[in-house]
Amino acid sequence: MSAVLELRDLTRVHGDGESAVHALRGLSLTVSAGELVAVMGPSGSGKSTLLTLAGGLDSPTSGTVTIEGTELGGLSRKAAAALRRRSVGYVFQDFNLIPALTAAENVALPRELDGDGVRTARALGLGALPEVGIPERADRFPHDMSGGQQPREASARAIVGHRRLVLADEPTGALDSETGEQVLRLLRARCDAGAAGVLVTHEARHAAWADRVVFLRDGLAVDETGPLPDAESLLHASER
Amino acid sequence: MSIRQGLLALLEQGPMYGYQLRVEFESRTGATWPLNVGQVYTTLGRLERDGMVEPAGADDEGHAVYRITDLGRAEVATWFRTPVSRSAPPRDELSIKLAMAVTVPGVDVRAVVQGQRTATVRALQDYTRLKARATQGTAPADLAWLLVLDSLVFAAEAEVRWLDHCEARLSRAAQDPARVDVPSTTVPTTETAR
Amino acid sequence: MRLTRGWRPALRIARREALRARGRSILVLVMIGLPVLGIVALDTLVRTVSVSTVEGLDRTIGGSDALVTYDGSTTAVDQTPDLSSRSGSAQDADPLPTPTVDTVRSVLGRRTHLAELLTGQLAVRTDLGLARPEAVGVDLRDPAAAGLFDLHAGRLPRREGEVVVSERLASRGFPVGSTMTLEAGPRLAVVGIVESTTTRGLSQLVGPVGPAIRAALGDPEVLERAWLVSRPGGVSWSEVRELNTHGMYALSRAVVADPPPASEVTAQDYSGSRVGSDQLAIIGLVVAMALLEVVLLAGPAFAVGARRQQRALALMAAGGAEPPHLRRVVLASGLVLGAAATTLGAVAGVGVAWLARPVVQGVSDTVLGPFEVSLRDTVVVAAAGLVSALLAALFPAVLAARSDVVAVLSGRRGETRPARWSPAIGALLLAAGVAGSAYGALRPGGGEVTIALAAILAVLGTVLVTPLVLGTLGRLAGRLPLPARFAVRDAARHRSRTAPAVAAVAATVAGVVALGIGGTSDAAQNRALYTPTAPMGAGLVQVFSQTPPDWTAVERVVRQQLPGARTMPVRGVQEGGTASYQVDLPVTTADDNFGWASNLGSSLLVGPAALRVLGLTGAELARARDALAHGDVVVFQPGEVTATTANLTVLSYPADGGEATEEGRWQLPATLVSVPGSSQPARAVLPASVARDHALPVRQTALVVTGTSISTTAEDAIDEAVGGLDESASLYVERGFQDDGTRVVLLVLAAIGAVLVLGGTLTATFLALSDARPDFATMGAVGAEPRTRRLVAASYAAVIGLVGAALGAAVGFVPGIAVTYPLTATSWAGPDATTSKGLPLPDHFLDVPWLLVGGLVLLLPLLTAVVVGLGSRSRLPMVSRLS
Repeated sequence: MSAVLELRDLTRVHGDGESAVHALRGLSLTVSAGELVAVMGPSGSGKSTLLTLAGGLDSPTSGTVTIEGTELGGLSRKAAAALRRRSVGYVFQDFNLIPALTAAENVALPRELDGDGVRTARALGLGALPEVGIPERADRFPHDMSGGQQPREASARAIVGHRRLVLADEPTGALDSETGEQVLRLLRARCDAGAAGVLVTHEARHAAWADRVVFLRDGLAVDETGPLPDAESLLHASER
Repeated sequence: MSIRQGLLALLEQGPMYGYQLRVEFESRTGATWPLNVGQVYTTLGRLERDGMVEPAGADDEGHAVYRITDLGRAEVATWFRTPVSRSAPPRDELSIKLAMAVTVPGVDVRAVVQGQRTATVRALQDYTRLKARATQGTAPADLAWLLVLDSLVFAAEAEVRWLDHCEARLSRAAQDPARVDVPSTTVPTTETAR
Repeated sequence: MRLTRGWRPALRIARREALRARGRSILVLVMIGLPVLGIVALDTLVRTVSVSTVEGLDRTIGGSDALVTYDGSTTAVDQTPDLSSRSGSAQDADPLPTPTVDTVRSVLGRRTHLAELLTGQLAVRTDLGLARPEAVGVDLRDPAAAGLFDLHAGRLPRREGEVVVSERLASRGFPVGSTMTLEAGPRLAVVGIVESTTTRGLSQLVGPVGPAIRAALGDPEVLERAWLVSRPGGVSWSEVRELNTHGMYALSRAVVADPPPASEVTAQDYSGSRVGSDQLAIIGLVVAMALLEVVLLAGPAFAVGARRQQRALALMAAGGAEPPHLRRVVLASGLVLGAAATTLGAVAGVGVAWLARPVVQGVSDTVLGPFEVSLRDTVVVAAAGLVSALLAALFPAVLAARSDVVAVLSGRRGETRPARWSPAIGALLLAAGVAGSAYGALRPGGGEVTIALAAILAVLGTVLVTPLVLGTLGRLAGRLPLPARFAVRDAARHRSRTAPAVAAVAATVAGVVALGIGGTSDAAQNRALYTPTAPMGAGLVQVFSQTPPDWTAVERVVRQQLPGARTMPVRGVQEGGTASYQVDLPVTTADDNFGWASNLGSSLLVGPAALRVLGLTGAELARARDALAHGDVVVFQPGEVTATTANLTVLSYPADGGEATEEGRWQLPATLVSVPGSSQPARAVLPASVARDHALPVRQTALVVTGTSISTTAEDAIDEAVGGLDESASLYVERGFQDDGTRVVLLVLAAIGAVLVLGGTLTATFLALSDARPDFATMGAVGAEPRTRRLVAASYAAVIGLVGAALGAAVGFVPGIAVTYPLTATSWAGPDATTSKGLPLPDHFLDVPWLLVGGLVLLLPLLTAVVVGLGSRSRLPMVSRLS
């Protein structure tokens, strides 16, 4: 499988001198197409930093970030933004829906930023909303939507178009477990359809949706868990 | 003992014979707790002895069919009403293992914890994969399967969280030995600087 | 105390919030503090510039106890204690004898010290000819005269024949050490340079009263005389009244210091400019508009503050706070910031005024009085500032107290719906404004105040309608490109923040458009009715004094500056004095109160030379020439009047103001001519023979300069030089209709409008940008290019500016057009008046300053948008959550 996201020896220091905070200290991680990697760790372990670096929102102090063969370090801010629009989808903890845009417009925002016309983008948004189960809400504004619809809309925005990399930062946030699960199912389905995904979470239950789980502790990946070859064997192990 | 009440609950829906009961039980709990037919017949025998089921003849193929009695129905009702008791926690191997590891010198407790967490997370992933594969139907049988999976998921998650907590506690203890609550024979150290 | 107990927590929260949200606090401080600063500084400067009787006493009466003056009255007189108003008495008994030193002493006692004070014009010989500076005869070494003049160089005159001169006169060839020769022959030595403590820049000479100066100033025709009186104990009010019975006035230090009760004062005080109800209404309107602007400009900052505090307020409400408590928290921020802003503004205003004194003195001829800060005015202005801050905070406070606690706590913070009644009331006010404007326009005679009042109603209506307009625009924004759509929808969503800013822009633009239309229409009328004084490009030396200037000297000055110029004396019948000369027609004219402007020193001119500067052209000029050649009197008379004769009457007025007696009356052949316009340049032109035959006193009254173009430099030089010859002489150069006044007014309007529009736009834009931070972060995360933020910023500025300006222009046109009806009404001009081109007058003029309107409505918002776009940070913020 081809690597969609490749992080190599990433360090990121916030601030300097006495107050310097080492968010990451030489982290490496590769995420392939079709793979969902969960990043776990306590608060302050650098989970969100990893995600902002992976999305090109922030630059590492050292190390490289490569998305589909393009090294972000060599890109201008403009080119990095274009890459985000076309290749990267973001799901935020607070969903970050823009209150001044309707559901369809929020979903189609990356396409519209990429230059699609108002109508084309709207059509795209309308196409993506049924996928997340809220077709009839296309022209509502976020504040008119229920707590369960907002995260689904936010997910739709992350997967609209043909994004190859989906980055999710605590996408289940403060959701109840049922709604949270719906978001994770969407994410899982996206990865099963060929995208690469990174899921930042501090809940093992959510991390378990991933193919791999990476534990961050003090800026390093300290533990990694791959899948067991046969799921059934674990179940039947308890028979003994 | 839940097998006894589980079989009674199945019989409440109608008379059944032994193998039939086993199949129903496993399908509803997702084969998580497999039963052998011997266990089923032993249990049925005890239930009959206690007057909660009674033989109801044989079906066309000659299987001995059992039927629930009024006493049995009362027992099922009581079972559903009564919460599962946590007053006597089941013996937990993991807790005992960690308790031992902490007190026995020369054991790398963190390695024990991390190893266990890896295993538990893998289990968690597997349960989740099963969940992802499970049909999202609303039929009672589908729901029953999902509920059991959820129970396993939450239990495993609880274990992971407990392990996280253990690790955090251990690393804090390592940083500040004076605060460890473990009995110690060493003289209080003057070393306080980090 | 209950009051403070209820407010104390609110004030504490407000204070901390003000310190926390620095940017917003500074915004409010500027919006409220700057106007306070400006008004306090202006008030202080005006009070400093204006010199009251008390402040100026030393300048007027020097070191004496009183200044006693006599102006030639033959009857008893009356005065106010501070001599601000004076009047002769009506009943004429026997004429009083002219008072002398003895008359004064008879009232004030023998021991009274009297210093004579003579003022008048002296003729002095200069290189160019005779100059006529102002002369003051007083012994400056007398302590009574101390304070009238400041010695700048040299020394004071010690004896007769010595004088001191002002800087201006010294610079005209009489430095210290030089000698000046009077027309009559005596020579005076210049020993020093002094400056009047009252007025700067005059051409003056001061010396003790000796034979030379008395001879020059003591013309029997000049009846005015004055004494500086010094007497132990001063001069009392009853003594002043007694001097009045002798026909004299007195300004007494003791009386000014301790004025008599009003019951003892009989004279009416006309000096205090009585504020009419119209003026009061205008002042009220200006104050109301200023308050409204400040409230609207500061409002958005409070709205944002209230919304940022929304969660805290909801938590307070959940914890048992009642709506009044919540209102108080927001109002308290108005109180805290308003108090800080007005205090800083007032203190800074006084400081600015102090620093500005030298600048003001530089442009003012009057010597400034003592630095004067009016505590009352300052407190009133500061209170107004505080009130505006509270008003600005009031609306957000009411909204905050009304907001839905559950919605806020659950994060579904929507804007509170605007009350349904406010747009309705707004529409009513708008309608009332339009109706009022129409009424004011059609009402005969002075509807300006009505229209101004209607304009305020319309502006208030606009303020109330603005949220509705924004909401509607928000719903229509669906097809706009992303940045514009975001800006419009965000503006509509955050109405409490945007609407005041848009309304501020609208109010400003409405005011500027209305005043601009009024101003340019007025100018259009003036242009249409402009009557040139001289032929285009020609110069005219005019003199307005009784004693004729040295015309040869004037001519020499002109030739010196303009070697190629042709000069042509204009001669006329000398007016003034006790004789009056009238020319009228034997027929009754339709409109007899037709005016004529006498720019040529006389309304009855003599000789054909005058015809060339009276605006006559073509056939009319030829006709007038023929008439004069035939000995006809040329009479200026417009309209359908025919007459072939005119009457010349000579009247004589007795010096003591009795009935006029007719000295002579002749019927003369006449020709009627007229020039287009609303007034005629003179009454008549007489043939020289007529003047001679009837022994009319003819002299040169003006000098026309033609034959070369006169540059403004030459104009200034000649004007200065002829001014040195005679204070009242000046050069006028005809350059056609000069519209500098209107241009300045439009410029000032444009500047004020631009500042306010910019203020409103920038405030709301930057508040919006800081509010939209999370949205920018989201856009950045999903791949917006950095310029997106700039585009949104520019769109925001454009939305606020354009919507506000469009609303304002629409509202401003109504009173603007309406006010042209009363303002440029032409009914006064008479039915025969025409424009200066000879066209019939329209009943009113309308000229829209399209450049100003277009600049303010389109150009400025777009320019602001571009500047905001270029000036705002292009870097998108990071998603704020960083665990």
